[in-house]
Amino acid sequence: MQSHTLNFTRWVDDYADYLYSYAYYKIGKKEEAEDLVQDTFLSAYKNRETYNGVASEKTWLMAILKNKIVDYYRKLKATNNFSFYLDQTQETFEDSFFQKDNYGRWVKKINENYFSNAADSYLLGKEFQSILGSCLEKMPPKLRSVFVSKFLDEKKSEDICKEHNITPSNYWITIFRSKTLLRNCLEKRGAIS
Amino acid sequence: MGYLKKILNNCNETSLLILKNKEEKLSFRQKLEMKFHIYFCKCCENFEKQSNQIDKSLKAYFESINDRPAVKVSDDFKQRVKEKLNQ
Repeated sequence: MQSHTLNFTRWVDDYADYLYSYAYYKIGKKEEAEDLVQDTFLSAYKNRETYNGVASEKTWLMAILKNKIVDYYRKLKATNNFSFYLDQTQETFEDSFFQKDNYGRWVKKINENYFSNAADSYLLGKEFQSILGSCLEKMPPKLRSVFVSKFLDEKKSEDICKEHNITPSNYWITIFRSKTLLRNCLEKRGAIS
Repeated sequence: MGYLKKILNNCNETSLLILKNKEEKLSFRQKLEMKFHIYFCKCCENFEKQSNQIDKSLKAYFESINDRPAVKVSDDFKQRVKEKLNQ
């Protein structure tokens, strides 16, 4: 329709960071996230005739990217070693946080800390959000890409399992480990400040 | 007594159930064991509290990606994509 007026150069400037941010958290790998973003722009360009201007540009690009991510995980299926990864890292995780010889008690006590009862203004404020960002950065990307899906897309656990091609039990192990690691990092960071 | 000891001390299992309970229906038995454990375990009680706080904060964090992306691509990358689009 009005495809000749679409300015793809501007789209790259306006939306690349946004698309990349999503892809990065979803995939966990920088190079692969970049590839997906690039493919998204190229597909959008190729299919520019189908853009009807009803959805916002951002929404349209995002829909393309999401499809690419579904394909990405579908292709990964053949080589998916997620179970293997969880098995391999289980002992290290459990030894750091739980006492094996004592039914699984926490190794280190969880006391009330600086964010236990924090007000929303603090949790949503700049300081805590930036600590949260750096703790997310430190998480193992494999765990993180599953863990953050709930927050990126507001998806149900069932759909996240399907998308990442993992079993419900592995999903819960992932959520649990991620949360434990993240909590631990926040606690440490709070002790310093 | 072994059973009781296990329930009272198994923070590993309980904290996983605490997270699961936010999204899924636990079995009656799981729920009972979880509540019983938390009643006596300050650590798991705090874990639940802090986990809820973290969720709140995460929700805001990922909502804000919309306005200001948390991670950015390089200018080089943008340039490369633009060149590909112009081919």
